[in-house]
Amino acid sequence: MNLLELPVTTLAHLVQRGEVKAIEVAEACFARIDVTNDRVGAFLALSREETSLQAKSIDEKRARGEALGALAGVPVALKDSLVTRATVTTAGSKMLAGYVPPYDATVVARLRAADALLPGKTNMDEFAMGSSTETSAFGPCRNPWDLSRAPGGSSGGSAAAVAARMTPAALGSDTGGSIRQPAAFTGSVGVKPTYGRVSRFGLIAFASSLDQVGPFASDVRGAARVLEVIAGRDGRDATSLDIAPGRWERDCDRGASGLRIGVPEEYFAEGLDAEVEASVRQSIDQLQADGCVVVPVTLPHTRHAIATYYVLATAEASSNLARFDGVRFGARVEPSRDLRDLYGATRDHGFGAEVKRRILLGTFVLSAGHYEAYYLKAQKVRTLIARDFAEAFERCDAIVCPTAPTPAFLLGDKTGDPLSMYLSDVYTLPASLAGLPAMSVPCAPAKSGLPVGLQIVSRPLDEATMFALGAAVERHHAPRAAAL
Amino acid sequence: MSEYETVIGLEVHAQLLTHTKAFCACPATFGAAPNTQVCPTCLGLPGALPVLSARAVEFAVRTALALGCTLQKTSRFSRKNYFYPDLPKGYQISQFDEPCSEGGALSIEVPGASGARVEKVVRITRVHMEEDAGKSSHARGEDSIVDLNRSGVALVEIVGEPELSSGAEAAEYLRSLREILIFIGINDGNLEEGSFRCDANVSIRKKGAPQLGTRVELKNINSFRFVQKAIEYEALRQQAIVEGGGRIEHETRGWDEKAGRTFSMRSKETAQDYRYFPEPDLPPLVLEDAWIEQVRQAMPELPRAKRERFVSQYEITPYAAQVLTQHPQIASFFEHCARLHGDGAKAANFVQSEILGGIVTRGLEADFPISPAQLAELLGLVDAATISGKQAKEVYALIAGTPRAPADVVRERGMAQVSDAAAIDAIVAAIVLANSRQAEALRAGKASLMGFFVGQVMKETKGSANPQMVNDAIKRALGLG
Amino acid sequence: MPIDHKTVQHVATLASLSLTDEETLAMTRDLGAIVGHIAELAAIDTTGVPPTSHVSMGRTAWRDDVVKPGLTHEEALAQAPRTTLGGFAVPGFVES
Repeated sequence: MNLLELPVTTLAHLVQRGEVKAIEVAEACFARIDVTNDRVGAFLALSREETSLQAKSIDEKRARGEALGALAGVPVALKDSLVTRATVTTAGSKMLAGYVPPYDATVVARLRAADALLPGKTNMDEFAMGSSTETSAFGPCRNPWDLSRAPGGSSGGSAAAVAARMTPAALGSDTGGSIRQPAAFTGSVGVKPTYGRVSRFGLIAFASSLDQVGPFASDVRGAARVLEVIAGRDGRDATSLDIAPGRWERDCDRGASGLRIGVPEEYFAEGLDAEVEASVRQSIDQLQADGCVVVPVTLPHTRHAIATYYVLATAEASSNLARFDGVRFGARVEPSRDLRDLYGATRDHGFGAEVKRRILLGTFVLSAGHYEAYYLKAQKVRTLIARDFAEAFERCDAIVCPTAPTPAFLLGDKTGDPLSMYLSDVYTLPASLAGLPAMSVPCAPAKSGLPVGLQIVSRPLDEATMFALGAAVERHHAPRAAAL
Repeated sequence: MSEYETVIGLEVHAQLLTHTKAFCACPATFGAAPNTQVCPTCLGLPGALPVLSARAVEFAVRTALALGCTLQKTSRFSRKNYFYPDLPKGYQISQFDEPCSEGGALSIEVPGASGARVEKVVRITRVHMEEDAGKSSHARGEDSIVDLNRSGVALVEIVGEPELSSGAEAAEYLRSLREILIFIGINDGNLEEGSFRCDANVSIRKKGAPQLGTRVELKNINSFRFVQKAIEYEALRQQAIVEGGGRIEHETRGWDEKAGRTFSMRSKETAQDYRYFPEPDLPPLVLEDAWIEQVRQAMPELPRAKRERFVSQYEITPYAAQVLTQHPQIASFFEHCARLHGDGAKAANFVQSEILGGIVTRGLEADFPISPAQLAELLGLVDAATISGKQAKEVYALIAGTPRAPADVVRERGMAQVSDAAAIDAIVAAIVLANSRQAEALRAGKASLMGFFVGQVMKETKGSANPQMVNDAIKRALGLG
Repeated sequence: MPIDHKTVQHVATLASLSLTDEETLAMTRDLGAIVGHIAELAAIDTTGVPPTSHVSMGRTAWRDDVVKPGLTHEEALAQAPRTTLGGFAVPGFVES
């Protein structure tokens, strides 16, 4: 039995019952990584010893007759923008090469408390800025389905780890689609929770009003379980909501009958790949056959999402990244003549081109004389985008649409034209701007075999409906691992 | 200075006396070894987030209420973005366009036209919350060293309207404001340690001109006296420039006490672009009515109101009230004693003349040589004529620094006055008999001999006879009026 | 509103980024295209629409005024590229 092919919940169950030892899982996990990571580039750093100790301690707990946590023995890969105490955390950037944080992100602590195994940190676009993991300072990550293609981004490493079954689950972060889009490109399930569901304490910030930590998993139920473990109020994150996690694993069995699914016309317009459209429409038909009511809806401000997002996200990012100045941690260019030289040289050296672009753009839209026209304006359009959804949700219970306009593109395809990279985020950005829960679940692949993702967006705090629908879609398309 | 008038607006940054910093649970105390009161949040480490202190909000609201400001039920935090070594995140969390309160006033006493002191009301633009930055220390030519202990300490910024007209008024404004903050318990008024800091915006204009002149910001002046001098100097400096046909530069200047002049620190011509935007890591600050009411109820009495009440309630002089309210603990001590003893005037006198010198203040705390209860008992012994006022001072010296009851000391040392009229008469009679010559002279009108007889009685009674009764007894014995 | 070479340099200064001439050229080009796209926001009617600065629907979350242990002095300085006398070292500067 290939332990890593097992879904999260099955694996946890076996370890909880003592039928499988955590140390066996750990060994299988690293064996798999050793065989695949060189080609895929999913992991930037591995914690072999620590994971082995974790696994042994879990097995000892079990031997003493103690109950094990909900993710017992389940390896969960961690995006390298989540700080992990005493282990290098880079956020995919030269600026943080070798940086060792003195504390754990809250979500990491919660995974540990649930007896998960944490084998390592995954590759990502630098500071989460990108849609292909090509801006990583440590080399690209490749899509396990086709190594010449991108896994998506910015959480490409986490998505690839799951797709190649190096781990059955992973954590990523989603600001404008950075979990959902890589999930779609790699045939995994990826969830962005309602803004505020999951603590951001310890997530290296990109855009604070948009960032959310979320799970990848090989199946919907696995994603639900991981989300239940990491969600819930955190006193160290003032934006985290004081609302208990739902029983989302249970919601996976609810069935979709009777749910009204909204199909937004703006997401099926020009630019959408024909095969992606066909695949998504097939799933919609399947849901209808399952008892869903299909309701055409309109989200008129969809096309403004890109502009809105790239104003707001870069503005916040330009401020969040000001702390990288060579003084207290991270890279530092020496010798420097004076402060200005220290800051300028350090940041020029430490940041890659995409990060610089976004910092400049963000600084520009906040600068004197431009604030009203750009930043303030974008905040108002953000309200309009949120209202679009609110109005649509009066007529449907969830929105179903493609996650990305195309399957995974070739590495190098979009790196020459930043704007074209931004335009590929068009379907994921709106839910981020509105703070809504959204998931990507695999539907029928393209003829080439490349995965296609279907996106489900539901009302604020209604992850339950989202999981119910995701599970319903999945019943028609069993999870597939990349043949690597 | 006849053609021009000076216009001054003051900005005060006051550290709040909360145990923890504004956005993290690190201690906010002064004086610790460098970088020993820090955490990921106040160090600005990647992934760290701010969480607002409830106590800081309470203190900020108290400040706003004490200054008569209008509270904004919903306000927002903003990021003020700039690069500086003591600003670890590269931005300061402050409040920009939606502060927690606006529009108050501070009443100060200034010399009027006739020379008498008159009341002047200076409007307050706003009181808002923000966090402090760390500290840098510099050695010439070498590295500068950054200590982030102070980074993140909770501050209120109090902005006054440009309605002050002189350095003296400015100093008075600062004294009054500092006193209020101390009495409401939110700041310890320590200028040397920098818990109370002031910047002065100074400009001049022709008298009667409607527009304000270009302002110069005076910073880093840590005494009210120096603030006054700096403003006076600056006004003259600006006048000289304008009269010479020049233009005032909008800049930041410091005060050089040795040279007695202001000096340029940094030109604000290329004004800093702080790119303020709403702080996404903190939800809007919402103040509920019930909560505001609680803060209002818990508000300590303001110093001016306390002084007025002391004068009317305890019948003490305004001067005494001033002295007794120089520190909230002293005022409290006095009042406690006045209540126990019943006679405020007597308590006031004794505190001022005997006890003040022995009080040690540490910020908002103070150590007293005796307790209000001890003092009340002491004053009671004088009232009962058990001891004289002079003896009371001796007893005080003996109990100072101890919890001993004054009555015990009086008893132990046999200090109780002879207050038995018959006993005193008997002693007086004996002395008059023994000193008939002097008695005759005193009867005949040599009033200075009163002292002689009083002295003799005191000697006989070892100083323990009630002096008033002795006086009366002697007069009676000699038939004097 | 065009983004030109001078604007990029000014913004780079605000952002403490020392760009090379080549970088400035490339950024001017890229940012020009991006800002060109973003300019479409201007045409949207937002009369009477309030800005969204927070999507959170939760109540304000405050913290009790209780001191909790933070980092030790060693932990605080452990990742610093340069320290002196217990503090973070930077090139000497004059207070302003």
